[in-house]
Amino acid sequence: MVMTDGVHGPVLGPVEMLVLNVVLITFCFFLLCRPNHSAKREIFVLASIAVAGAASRILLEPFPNVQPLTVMCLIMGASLGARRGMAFAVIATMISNLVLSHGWWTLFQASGWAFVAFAGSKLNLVLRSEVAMKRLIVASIVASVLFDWWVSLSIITSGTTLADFVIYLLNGLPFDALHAVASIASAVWIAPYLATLLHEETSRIDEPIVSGEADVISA
Amino acid sequence: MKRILVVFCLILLTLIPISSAEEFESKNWEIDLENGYITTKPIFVGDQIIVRTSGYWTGDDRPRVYSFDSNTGEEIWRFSNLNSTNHDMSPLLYIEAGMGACGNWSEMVIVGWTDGKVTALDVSNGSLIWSSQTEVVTWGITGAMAQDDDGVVVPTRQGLSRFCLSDGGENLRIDLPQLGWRNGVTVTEQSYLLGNEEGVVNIINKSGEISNYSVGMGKIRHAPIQTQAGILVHLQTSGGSEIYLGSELLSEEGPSPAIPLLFEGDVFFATSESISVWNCEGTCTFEGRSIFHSNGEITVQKMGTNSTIWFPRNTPGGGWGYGIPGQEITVYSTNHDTYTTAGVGFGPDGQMAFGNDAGILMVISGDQNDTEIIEQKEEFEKEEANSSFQVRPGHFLIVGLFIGIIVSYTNANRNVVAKLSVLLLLVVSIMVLPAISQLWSEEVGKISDAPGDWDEEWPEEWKDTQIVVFELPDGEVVIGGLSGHENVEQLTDNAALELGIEVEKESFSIGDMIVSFNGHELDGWEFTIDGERIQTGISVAEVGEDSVVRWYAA
Repeated sequence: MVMTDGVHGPVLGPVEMLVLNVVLITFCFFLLCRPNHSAKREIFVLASIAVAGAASRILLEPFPNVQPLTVMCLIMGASLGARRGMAFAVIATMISNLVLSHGWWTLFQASGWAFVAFAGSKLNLVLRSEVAMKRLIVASIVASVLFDWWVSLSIITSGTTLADFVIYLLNGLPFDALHAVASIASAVWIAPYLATLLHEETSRIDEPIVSGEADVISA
Repeated sequence: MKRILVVFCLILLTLIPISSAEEFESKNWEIDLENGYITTKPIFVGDQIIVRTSGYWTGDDRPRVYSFDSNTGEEIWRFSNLNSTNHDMSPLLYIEAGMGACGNWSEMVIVGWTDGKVTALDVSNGSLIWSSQTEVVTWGITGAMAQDDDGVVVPTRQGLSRFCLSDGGENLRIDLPQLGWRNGVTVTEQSYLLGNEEGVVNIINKSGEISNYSVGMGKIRHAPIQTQAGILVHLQTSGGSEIYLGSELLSEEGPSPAIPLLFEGDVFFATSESISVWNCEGTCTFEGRSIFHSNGEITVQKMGTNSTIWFPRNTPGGGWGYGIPGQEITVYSTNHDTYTTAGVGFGPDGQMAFGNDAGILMVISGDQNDTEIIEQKEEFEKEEANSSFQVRPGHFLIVGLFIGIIVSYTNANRNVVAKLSVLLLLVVSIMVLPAISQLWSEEVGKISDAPGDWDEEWPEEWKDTQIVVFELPDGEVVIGGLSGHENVEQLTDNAALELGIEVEKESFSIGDMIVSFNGHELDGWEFTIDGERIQTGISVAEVGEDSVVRWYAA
């Protein structure tokens, strides 16, 4: 008798779930506690937008794979840098998964969106408050599809063959396409306002003497 | 200070799900019976829940009937039939205490077994009240029994018997020429209705006179449904299934029909392709259909004036769908989901009991807020009686966006045109996704189809039937023309029986495995279905009506 593990891969026990939470939270901690000069206001802005990002996932849950969070991660990474962008991605994922269900897949979603934010910090998507729209649209399409494929890895168990996984990815292509279309819409509708908001809020915070927080991550 | 604030907020995030999980655990319970499939719905009797298993079909272990305290999960009693030949799929029948012409009887649960036995068990302690024997032709009783006043009517392998509830004495016996399988009996005012493997509906007068009519080329594997419009039958055919009202074909349906349910004039059907509902008050009219895979027991949850129909989902993803065909079907999922054919049991206080092919029984409290079962809303394609175009909110949104684009374009507001166009694309994409996804999935399914394993030397009449090949050391042995088996284990067992091949099996935590055929252990045995190796065990590997199962030495 073979028992299946559902569509999200292995089911985690309480200890495994605790380890997962500790890993994600430790990751956030180290991202948010450097550099030391950041103002409380920056944390407040970050937290507010993280809650908004989580809320967007929850509200749009009835629509399969419509994920504005992907574009938000790109903009957050581009505007606040890799550290803050990645922290935003992990926090928004954890908050939304409290409602949408939390498990093994959270690790893949959080790391996937964190990588999207990291990519956003490197792609020059926002110059001051101006969004490079064409570049953002291309980035959001690529990020959406790659994110979906990355999260699909969470379904792999010891019994999954390469052929099974390829078939799974092929079955998901229409959903990948919808994610990409939703990301284009998010880029057009949300990104300019988000970039402006972040610019206005963070410009009030004193510029640090030394910049280049993203370099810490890339190193 | 900032670090403390950050750590505090983040730790709060981890505490919320943990505290929620503890609350769930205090209300509901579950147990792995480790005794094979649960293929019939658990029944609530007072503070007890009674459930049966159909066994692993191997070793010394045999199917059992269990009683648990429905609130705590504590086992109260269990009853095992050591002579069962397994495949015990006859639903449990609860009988209230009463009296009749043939005597008085106490509260009991009646169990039909594949060794032909009918046992009446005391509900309070599981002790045997009486036992009677019916005929065995490979199997004994597999269909649903029914109470008729002071008697219990039992669909046997090749006929029908009626036993007095007080002492188990047989007071009616009907021998029939056709074999039956899961062919439940229906009790009407004047007669008993019984189908069989040859598509014949027998109408047996309570004094024993028989009349019958042939529905078609196929198998009737449920109790015929008596409606105001006539007798309804869901016939399983080699290519799918057909719904008949009397001898009139109402509809052609998908394969592996479920056991239909009559509720307040509506009859609910299910197959591997869809679930549907027909209203049969006066005449039978089609009411609605939704895409959903269900092959087992359909059950009704009565909640005051509202009632919900539940369908077990017989796919690897498992779970139970509920709703009305033609409307949105919602799926209940659990942490133990797998193939499922057992209906949901409902308690008097809103409790629900779920059993699946993994042999796991899950009981949840009546308070829906405390359920640990995860409710997932899934969209299934649906078709309503009037399937013409229907206006939905999304259509208004599309029209509104079109108007907005045209107005913006005429005002030369290119920026807004671009924004609205993208939004329009998104709305349309969301609306067409289910249809595109299904079409795409079918195309992908063709890529992943099995390579096939047909041998041109086999008789033509074996085409579209189930075939089993044994590559034994002393030569290949093949049997074809089989049908009606749902998994590799059932098909192999029957094929081996027909060919006189001795099968030795062993149970492991991952399921049953073949140890030897005719004493040949070799380095183990593996199988393919239609030429493709299968990852799952023999008891869960599904076969179609035209599958070729090939056994070969590892």
